[in-house]
Amino acid sequence: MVACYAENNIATVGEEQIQKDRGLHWIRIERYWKTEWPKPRVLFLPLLCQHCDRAPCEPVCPVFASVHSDDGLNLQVYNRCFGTRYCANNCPYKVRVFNWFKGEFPEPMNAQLNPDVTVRGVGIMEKCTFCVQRIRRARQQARAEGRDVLEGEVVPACVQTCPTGALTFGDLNDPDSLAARLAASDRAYHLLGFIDTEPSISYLKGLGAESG
Amino acid sequence: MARLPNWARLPRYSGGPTRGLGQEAVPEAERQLAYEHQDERHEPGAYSTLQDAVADGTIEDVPPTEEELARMDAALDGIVLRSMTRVGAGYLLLAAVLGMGAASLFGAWLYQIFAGIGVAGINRPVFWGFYITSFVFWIGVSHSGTLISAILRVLNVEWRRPLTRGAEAMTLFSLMVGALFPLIHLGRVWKFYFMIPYPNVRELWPNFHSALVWDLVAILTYMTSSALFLFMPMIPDMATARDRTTGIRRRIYGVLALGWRGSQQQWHRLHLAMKVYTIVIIPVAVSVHSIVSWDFAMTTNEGWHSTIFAPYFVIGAIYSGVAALITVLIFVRRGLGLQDYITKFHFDRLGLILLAVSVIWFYMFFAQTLTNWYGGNPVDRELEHLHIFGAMAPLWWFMVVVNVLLPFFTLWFKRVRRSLPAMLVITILINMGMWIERFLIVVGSNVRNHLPFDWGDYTPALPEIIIAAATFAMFAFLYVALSKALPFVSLWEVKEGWRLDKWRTQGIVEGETEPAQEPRGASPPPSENRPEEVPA
Amino acid sequence: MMPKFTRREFLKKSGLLAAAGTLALSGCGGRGNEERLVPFLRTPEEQVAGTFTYYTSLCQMCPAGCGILVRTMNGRANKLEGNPQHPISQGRLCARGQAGLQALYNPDRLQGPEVRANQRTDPFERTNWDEGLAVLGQALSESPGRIAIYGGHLPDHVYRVAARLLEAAGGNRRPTVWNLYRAAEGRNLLQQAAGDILGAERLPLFDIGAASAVISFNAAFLETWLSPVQYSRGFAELRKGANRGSLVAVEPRLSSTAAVADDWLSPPGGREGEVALIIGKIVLDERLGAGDRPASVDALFSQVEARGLAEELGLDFEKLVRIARRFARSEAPLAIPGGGLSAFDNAPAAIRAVLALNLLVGAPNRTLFLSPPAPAGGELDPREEVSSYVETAALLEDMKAGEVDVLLVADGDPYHDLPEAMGFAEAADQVPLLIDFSPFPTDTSELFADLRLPQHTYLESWGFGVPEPGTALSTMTAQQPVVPPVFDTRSLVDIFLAGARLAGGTYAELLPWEDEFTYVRQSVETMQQALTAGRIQTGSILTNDPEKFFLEWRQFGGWWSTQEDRPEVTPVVPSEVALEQLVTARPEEARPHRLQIYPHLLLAEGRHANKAWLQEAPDPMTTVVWQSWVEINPGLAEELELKTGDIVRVASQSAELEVPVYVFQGIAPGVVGMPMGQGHVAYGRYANDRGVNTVDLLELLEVGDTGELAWGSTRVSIEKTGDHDNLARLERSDATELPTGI
Repeated sequence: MVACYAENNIATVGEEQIQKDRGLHWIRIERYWKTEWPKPRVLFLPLLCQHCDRAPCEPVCPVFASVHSDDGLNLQVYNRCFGTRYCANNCPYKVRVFNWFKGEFPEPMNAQLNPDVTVRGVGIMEKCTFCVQRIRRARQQARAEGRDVLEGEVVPACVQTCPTGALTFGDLNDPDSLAARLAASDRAYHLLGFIDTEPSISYLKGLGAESG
Repeated sequence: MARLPNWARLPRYSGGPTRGLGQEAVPEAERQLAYEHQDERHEPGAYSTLQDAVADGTIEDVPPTEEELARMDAALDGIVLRSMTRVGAGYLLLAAVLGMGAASLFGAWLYQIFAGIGVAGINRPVFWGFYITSFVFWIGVSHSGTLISAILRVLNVEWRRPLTRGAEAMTLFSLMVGALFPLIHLGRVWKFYFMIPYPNVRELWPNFHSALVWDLVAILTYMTSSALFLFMPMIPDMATARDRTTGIRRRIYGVLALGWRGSQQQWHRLHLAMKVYTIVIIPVAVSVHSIVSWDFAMTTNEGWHSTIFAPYFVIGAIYSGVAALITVLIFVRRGLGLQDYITKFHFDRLGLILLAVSVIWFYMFFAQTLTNWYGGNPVDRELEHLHIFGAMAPLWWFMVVVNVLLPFFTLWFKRVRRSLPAMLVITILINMGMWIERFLIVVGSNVRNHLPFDWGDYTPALPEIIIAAATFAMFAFLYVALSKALPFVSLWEVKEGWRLDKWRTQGIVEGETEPAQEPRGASPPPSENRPEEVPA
Repeated sequence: MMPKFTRREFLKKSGLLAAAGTLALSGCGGRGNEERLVPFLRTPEEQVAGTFTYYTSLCQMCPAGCGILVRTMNGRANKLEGNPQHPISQGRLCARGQAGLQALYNPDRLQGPEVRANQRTDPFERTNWDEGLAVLGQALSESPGRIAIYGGHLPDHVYRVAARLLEAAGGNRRPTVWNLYRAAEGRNLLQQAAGDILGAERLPLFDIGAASAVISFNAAFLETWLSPVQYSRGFAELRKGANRGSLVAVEPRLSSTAAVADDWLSPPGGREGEVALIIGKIVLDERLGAGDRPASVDALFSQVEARGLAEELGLDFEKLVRIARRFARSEAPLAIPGGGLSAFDNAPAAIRAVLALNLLVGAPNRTLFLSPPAPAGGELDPREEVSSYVETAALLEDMKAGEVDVLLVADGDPYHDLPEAMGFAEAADQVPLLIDFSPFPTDTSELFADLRLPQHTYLESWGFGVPEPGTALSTMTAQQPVVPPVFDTRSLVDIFLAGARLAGGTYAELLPWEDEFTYVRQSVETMQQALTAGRIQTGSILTNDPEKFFLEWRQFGGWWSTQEDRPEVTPVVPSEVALEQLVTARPEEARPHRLQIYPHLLLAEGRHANKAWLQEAPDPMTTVVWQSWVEINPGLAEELELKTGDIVRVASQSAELEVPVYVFQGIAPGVVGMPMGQGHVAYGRYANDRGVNTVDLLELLEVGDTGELAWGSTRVSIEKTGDHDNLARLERSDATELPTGI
């Protein structure tokens, strides 16, 4: 979560705004009580943009700010967005967050900002990008070296940092990649699969989550 | 033997002059008779007494002469134009208060633009709140004006004549108010032009897959066509105003009259154009609210993605529109002194329409709720639970009471339909209910979704409340302000009605012009249009 | 490289050009600047420019000692990652580690040395380093034997210098490193117990990844306990693959570690050790003990009346039997005595009981080892040593008695971090000179310091660290500056060295280094020399050239051995571990609830409360952000008619706090849970006046004669105030609100 904030220049909004449910968390761990006291069982559901192949957010945006990239990412183009919030309404996973105010990066905190990532202004929708800037860098590098991007060469910040390795990232089009193998396993399922959004992220039954 | 005064027959269609004619128009005896019968003329018993009187020969049934018609015309023109030109202190005060109300909308909006959209109470997951609620509400209100007017015109309902103008104006005004909301609710309103399809250096083109672009197209189309629909039949009245005013007004009306001289050809073209336009605008009106409903129905949100939503929204729009029309007419009638032209009879008829629409709306509402509940989808169920028993229950039950029970148990009664205070209260309550219905739809489905962790709640913030409330002031302000510019009764249509009636009862008198528009069926006996045949 | 042209610049310039053009009536197009509008169709994320430079360093956000990689561009650090080659982090990093950047670029950092006149209520005024250091030097030279150093966490290289500084000062003191976070780690007690049971007084090394069945006794090892990143990696190993290992958590409050366990047993707080005995007894009864177990260990368990005890603890005996069987039958069982055990006065016995359970099932040298020594042996010691509660209290007593003339506060905030009852405020009032070295304004420095000499953050200074507990590979991690100093600050070692130089005498003798760099450089050379004696071939750096060795040490983030060299355990079972010692003194008091205080996953004991990222990241169990809360059992909530967000008055003998309630499904009746971390008064904009300082509630009960604080034995009462606060949290509804149907 914090890795995501650091990588993607996400602004913190403060207590008052969180009370109004306006946090800008691109990834959040949803804590569900499967059963309650006296035999509490907890289920943690890491929720981030599912990068749906049939993303409900994309057709509804009037200005093509929510678009699909050629490599299957669901991108948000900040400078196109003018804030109808229609995409967020139509997102079944509610993973899109909105800049209700301009994010603050008081000096010298602005020195930390990742130069690869746009700092979003007020009135703009944002969400997890699978750290697209890292993918682009890896792709540039691979292109310069005349090869394909290798398995494990690029991972989003959350996958990279997660100490328990609950998240896996890879190319689903490459059947040999770990992510593709996990996504094809019997344990894999799609969150809210019945809505038929064909998410890129598969969760694994049992514990934890894997992404692809 | 007294002559049957004109009002005794004419009000069935378009109201009749009793007060406005003044002494020079009607002999004292007739005026006395008119006042005596004013309140009872539509009462079943009274009317038959009157008919009996005609049959007895106590009263002579003589259609107005040409001269009398001319005097009636003059009186109507006088009333309407006087109200357009006279500006009293009360009027100024009202306009100032409403103007300030309307200005507060822009004040709050500016504040929101500079401080950030976050000053509104919306949040995640309630991304849409008061603004979109208000948007749907005002688009709904806009619905009825044009639609009612067009349908009544198509069906050639004679009593429509004094109402159409007010109804059409209502459409335009509420559209002007409603169309603000898609802008107000934008995070970056200064970029709204991104949505307009025109070639540009940004190499951007709007996404025609998006229901919001449909919205833009639909609303702009509806706004344009409603404006034309309001303006076209106003051309002859503009000419009238041009001829009766002086100075700057005369010049403005002269421009707006588009060179109307009242020639046969001009009348012919106007009638032809109106005939076509009236038919064309009905599907436009229906499509607009269907598209507004598709803003919701095209999503994946539980409670929104429902196939019934388009007709449900359309009928809801007509419902709140008719109610709003009645409310507006009550004020217009009072404000412009049109008691003689917009009569209780009209409210009686509009009340009946309102009753019918309310029942259809309830049917749709019931079907929607029932399928949601019966489907057993946990989110839908939770939504229904929220509505019926949960935090939104007070609103939901209020809506059920005022939108289902109240009209059903009151509007059957003619006495209620004819009581203006009662109608005022009922229609305002209905529109409160309809506003809440939209709120429940917009916010309800937002606070409940597939992931209980992300269920939300919503408390409107001050700017939202100000803006939502100020729209009512703005709507009223548009009426009040433009009442000094536009005739709120279609002069020529009312006059035409009188003549049609005369010809219907009397036949074409030699030497008089043939009516441009032939009424449906030849000279129906007065009894066919008798109001008292409405089932009580 | 072409000058970069942003859109904003373009707009500005084109505006200027247009203006100029109008004036001169001449076209300005031929200036040679190629300007291109980037169409909005291209997303900015598609355009990446420049190249990152990565530096290795050492994370100091907690004492675990993870190696990190710092991503920088144009002299600015913009991302921290785990160092993939480092034995502890292996490319991973926790949330606190990630937030190191907000320590570096904290907007509330002190921008230079500050001093104020005698009145501690005066505002601070900026001064320069020469004057500041002169005060320090003078203080050092004038107050021999009357100097003390307090810190919450002193990095190893700083601790060594600090210890020498005190040695030079005379007076037989060592740096006092203690606060509730350190107390909750329970290092000292664990070390002592290891001495009793495992044959060496070192921290045990729990190889969770090698285990296949783990029972955690009050160990928040995925959160804050000792070395969370390492343990989390181990946990991932445990769970991986077809032979998914099991985890059972035994603790009174459902921590997020327990939340991901297969089973959660919640005995009353302080009686976890008895659960170990029950399990041991079942193992014995079922003859599932390891064949090579020391014979004497059986005696510890054989006397236990397992079923009755389980009933007394409110646990399902059959379930315990199943757990015990799975545990003992697994190939590699491991029982972890967590820091939570140190909260009670029976801590030594409880920890020993759990360690003995390991002996019973044959865990030693399969899953249980000892932490490896420093690569250079004793040469680089002393590494950071955590003081005991009693030592800290003694320091405060000395201060109160006026026996301390100079208190140096390094990277700690005693006013906030120590329980109010310990009386830091009165003690500090008796100290004539208090110098604070924190890079941030702290409660302590704001209220009591006379001089603030802000040190670098760890990303600006040199250093090294020997992780404790380490991994199977002995390690010395490199710490190096990755960005130029953001403000006019100096590294703490440099400050101490400069002070020592000015003070002269023994100081200069014992602290001979010119500056921090020389000191670190020499330390690395010392290590290299020790390694050259025989171990160089089994290390990660294969060179004898000191220059090159130092370079590679920095380049790869440290030195570590490439062969496992953790010491083996040689179990000894002292006979005196007896069941009776497990019985806690459970005073029946007027106050009905036991207070379970615990370090906040993100804010720790409060040192990270000034980092917005960590404030805004939700606590995993409650999802609360930016606030303090008290967790209560749903039954108690019903009884007191409380719902989440209602404000209650929590009162102990020591203090009274008003704090919102969180109705928590994972806490037993009779216990209330409170995280540490908030309640600062002068710790920057993100921390000030936020929540309450829960450690103030603690009563000062000691753990037997060990000198540690029984920080889990405080009892509190809860009283409804009638106020309500919309407790800021991510969750929006409780599952309890789900209707059962209409």
